Amino acid sequence: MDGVDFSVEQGMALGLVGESGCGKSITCLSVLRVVPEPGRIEGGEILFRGEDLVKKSEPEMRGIRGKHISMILQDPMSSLNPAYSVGEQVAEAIRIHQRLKGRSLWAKVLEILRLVRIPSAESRMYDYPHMFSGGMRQRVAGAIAVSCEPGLLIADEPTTSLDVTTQAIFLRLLKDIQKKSGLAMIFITHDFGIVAKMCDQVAVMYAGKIIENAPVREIFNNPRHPYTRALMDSVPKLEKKVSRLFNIPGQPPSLYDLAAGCAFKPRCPSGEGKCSSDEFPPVVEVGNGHRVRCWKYG
Amino acid sequence: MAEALLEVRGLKKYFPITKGVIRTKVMGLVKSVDGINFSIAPGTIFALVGESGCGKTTTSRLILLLEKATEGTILFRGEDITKLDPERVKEYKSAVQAIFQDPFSSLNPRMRIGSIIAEPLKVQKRLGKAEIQYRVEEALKQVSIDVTAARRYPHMFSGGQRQRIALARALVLNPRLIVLDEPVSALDVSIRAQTLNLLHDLQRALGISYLLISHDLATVRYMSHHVGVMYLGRIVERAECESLYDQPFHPYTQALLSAALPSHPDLVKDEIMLPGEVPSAAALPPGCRFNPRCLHRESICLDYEPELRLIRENHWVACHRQKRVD
Repeated sequence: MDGVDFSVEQGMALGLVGESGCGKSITCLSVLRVVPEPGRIEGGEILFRGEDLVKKSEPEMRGIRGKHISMILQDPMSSLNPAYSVGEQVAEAIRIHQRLKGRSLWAKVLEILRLVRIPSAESRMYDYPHMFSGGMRQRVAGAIAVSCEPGLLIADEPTTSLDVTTQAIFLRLLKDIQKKSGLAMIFITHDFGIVAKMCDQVAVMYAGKIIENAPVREIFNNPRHPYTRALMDSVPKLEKKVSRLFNIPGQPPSLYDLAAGCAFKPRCPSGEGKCSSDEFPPVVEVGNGHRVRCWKYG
Repeated sequence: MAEALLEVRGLKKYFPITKGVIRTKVMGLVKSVDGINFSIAPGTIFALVGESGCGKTTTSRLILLLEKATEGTILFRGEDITKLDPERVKEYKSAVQAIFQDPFSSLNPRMRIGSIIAEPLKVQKRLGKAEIQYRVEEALKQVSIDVTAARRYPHMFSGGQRQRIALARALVLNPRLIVLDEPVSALDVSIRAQTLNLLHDLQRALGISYLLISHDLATVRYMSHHVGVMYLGRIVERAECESLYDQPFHPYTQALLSAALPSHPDLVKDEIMLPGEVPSAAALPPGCRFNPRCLHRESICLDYEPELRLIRENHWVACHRQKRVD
């Protein structure tokens, strides 16, 4: 990813939308400073409550991860440890970050599991992850993520492995928790449906850059970037039968050998004069808090 | 309605749960598919939707003769396929083809694309080399893949291209029905549209039928003519596509549609929250199998299982409450 700018306010949810390999997951791993080797944060700053996370030392970061910023991953089967009971895994974060012990620790674990609506939590907290269904496992992962009342929750494709009705329950749960605690959330997703349902602000990524950023209604009513529009028109709608889906020609580019200039140009239906420039289009403010990077507006 | 291409009557598939190695005892039955009926007319697309474990994939495997049905009949052009002699089974298998979810495991990595597509021809028909090559090239053209691809290996292609190669392999035998089991769920969003459009175009151009298996309600609406909603091994609602989406009658269908993701923030609805989890197909509740999670349960729902009933033109619902509607 390259030169990414965005912000989330308290109690708000940002949707980071893009296809696989566009850099949306790496963006969020950078926020937690856990970018896998050989990746590095080359520059820029990550401000969390006014403090720059890039300048923090590793021990300081450890105090932030899980406590102030936490994450939910796509697959709860691989993010939970199969060898520990669900209760112990929820207790771990609370023990470390809130220094609770003994009875008060377990009371807190129970409270958190009830918060994510695990039925008969007092007996099920001794069960292991394999004894839970996919939706319940993801609720446990959610429980761990919110157990220390973080300021920011990053959810990386949190519901792709869940069934439709289970997904609805999980999303509703996150929304309820957000309402109660004023949590800020970042949703990483390829699905505009999740954005429509959950987010206040949307950033669309393509080939490592944010190419459009706007409030949710603005972007749905008035998508400016040809890629955003194409992506929206290429998915079938639940509410009405579209006669034909829009076909985005070609493949998303590989980030290894990106050509100079606009990365979407080879697939863009409206490439014009300036589009063949070697420069990446600048960020243009088009009103209503709507920013876009496209030569059409530059 | 014209004569059905494929008709499924009272189809059941029970998997035994066994215990012990030497003296195996059957401890119970997983009723994966439990008496379903539907038919697919020539040149139409029928979709089975439902959540994981509802039996939709087992149904497709029964139709593909990859599993043996416990009970019930599958009629293809009026003939019971479970009672065909081996020669006719071969014919059936070339008339019914399949495409699976994962294009990475469905193509043999050690075979060239040309051989992958030619293989069904070699198994099914006696043809000369030149004829085989001609047919392979035709199939590749149909899915808009360059004919030079025939000499290359699967790993040289992206997921979307591989799915099209799998489609070419299915098309090479001129099938009448293709079973599509979650054909696009493993693909990237922008590639899904390409694949769905291609499937759509081919279906119209060749006048073939599809059985689409999917959990994605929006994709099903885009693709299909008729839909069956499955819950725990049964079809609980079956209708023309638009009729079902405009007015779902079964409480499960209603919940499913309300839980699906909207295409615009203004279309966000309150979802109907179903209590509890899907029960195990090995321990079905008495009466209607949806009753433990149903928000409109009445005493009759505990007594016996509702059958599919016609409640308006081409719209069938298996719910006790719905007989009063008309």
